[in-house]
Amino acid sequence: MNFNDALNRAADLAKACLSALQEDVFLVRDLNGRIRILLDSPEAGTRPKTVFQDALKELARDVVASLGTYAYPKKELFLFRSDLATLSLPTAESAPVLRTDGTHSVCLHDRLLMGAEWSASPPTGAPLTKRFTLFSMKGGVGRSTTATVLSWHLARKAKATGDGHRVLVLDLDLESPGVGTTLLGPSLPKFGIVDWFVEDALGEGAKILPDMVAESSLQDGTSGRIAVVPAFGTETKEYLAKLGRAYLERGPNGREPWPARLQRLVAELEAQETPDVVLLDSRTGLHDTSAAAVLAMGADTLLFAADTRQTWAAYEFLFQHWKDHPNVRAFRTRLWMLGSMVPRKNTQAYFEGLRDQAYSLFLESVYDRVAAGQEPPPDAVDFAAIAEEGNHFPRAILWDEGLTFFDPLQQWQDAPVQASYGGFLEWFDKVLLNQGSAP
Amino acid sequence: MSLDYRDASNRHFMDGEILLNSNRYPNADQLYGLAAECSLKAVMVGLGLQVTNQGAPRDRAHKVHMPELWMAFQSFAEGRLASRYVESLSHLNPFGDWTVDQRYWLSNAINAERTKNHRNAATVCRESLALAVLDGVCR
Repeated sequence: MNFNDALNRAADLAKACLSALQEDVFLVRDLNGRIRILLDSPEAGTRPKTVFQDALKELARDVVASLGTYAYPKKELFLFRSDLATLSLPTAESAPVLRTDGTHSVCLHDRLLMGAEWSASPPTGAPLTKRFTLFSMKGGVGRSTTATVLSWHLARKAKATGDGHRVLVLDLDLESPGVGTTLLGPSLPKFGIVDWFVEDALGEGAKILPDMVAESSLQDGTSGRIAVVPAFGTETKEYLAKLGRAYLERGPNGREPWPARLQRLVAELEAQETPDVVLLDSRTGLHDTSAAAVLAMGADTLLFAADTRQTWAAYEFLFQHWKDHPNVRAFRTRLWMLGSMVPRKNTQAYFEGLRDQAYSLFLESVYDRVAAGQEPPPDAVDFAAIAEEGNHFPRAILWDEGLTFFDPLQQWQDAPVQASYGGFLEWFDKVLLNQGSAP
Repeated sequence: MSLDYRDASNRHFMDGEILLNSNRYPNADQLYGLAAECSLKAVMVGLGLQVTNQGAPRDRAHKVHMPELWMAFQSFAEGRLASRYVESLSHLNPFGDWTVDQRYWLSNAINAERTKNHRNAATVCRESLALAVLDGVCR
């Protein structure tokens, strides 16, 4: 018996009791990984009393005997919603279904210390500003450089009014800040994102908001604007003491999930800075804060990938989790694969490998698999591996030696940037800025 | 006699409800303060508070009633696990106008509004405890 077996075994045993219990049964897996059973009430109600009580006894006996240390003892095994009325607990519609008999289901309620945000749903209604999240599983894949190049490109690119775009860049990689200093050098504002989270917990966030933004000199000579909100500023001082408090799920009015706090920060910055485009440089890997940037911002997400085993293994964990996401249809078409540091040698073969890996990732989890002769659902997403318009189809950023020690504020490298990013920027304009049809 | 803060939290709260329904505000109010205290102490024990063999807190700072316990709980909580249970508690102490000594006060000293405020605050503490039970942090 291990963590994986315990849930499967408990699900089988609970399914066998569904017809006698006549209700949805929830397996509650606590922070230690131990399992309990959540039912509506200890009372049989309109159900035959003996049948109901016998089913409870039998279930308790079998679960405790089979799961051992992975279950609670008999007298503590059952939890009842009637005793937990103050909590908002999931329903069969909002929880992963482990087993079903067609009428009732066995569902999972997983108590997680971290990581629950990867199950969150995106906000309904589009944000007023176009938002883009840059996300990677591993560091060093050119995420911050891409944010820099993209903001430079957008500030130069004319809108319908003839002016360049107003870009707002947020450095959300609080554990490993980067894009703020890349774009601003030493000319940082007084405060950064880490300061806001600490001040906001005490209701003082608005006070520092105007001092959290500085303009990058990369905007010079353009009619656009590159406003940057770094992770820290010149007066941040105790960075670690602030970082250690930044993820508090508490705002000025009491408990508030972290993604909701970030949502509020971004909306307040947008109201202050009036950007056309917001770039969110996310933290690396499967952290809750990355989930907030990917799912809670209503953003299109650029998923950076190099064709390595580690990258695909990590993406597979995430996409497999999303396979059972009750609301995956709301965000799957806003995920865009991006092939970073594509080598100059054997480019085509490398690219095809990357594309096929990405395709299998999307196909096995978030794409619909419509069989021949079957009527596809109205919002079906069913691309072929080679379909350039597919979300999986990697947009290539070519590796270029000229960008290895790229310091854009010292010397902008026009030729290497164009050589590396030309194709990607063209695609970005056409598809994500909605200035033309898909490639 | 060993202590069981979770059981005591339930008892004080349920009895408080009976008294509130009969407009017996002073003793209902007393019980809501005790229910809140027991809920927070149960969570603190789950988070590793050092206790005696009988289950009472070892440190004098934690052997307190409301309103002191509200702040003691916030100072005690540290780290991501504890923050789950402290995040729903307000910085402003809702038991600032409650004392265990009010059991000696005149019967007209405590009104419905004050009792209901303390009931709301006790409910927040009990939600924290319910979360900790669901998480497997409290038994």
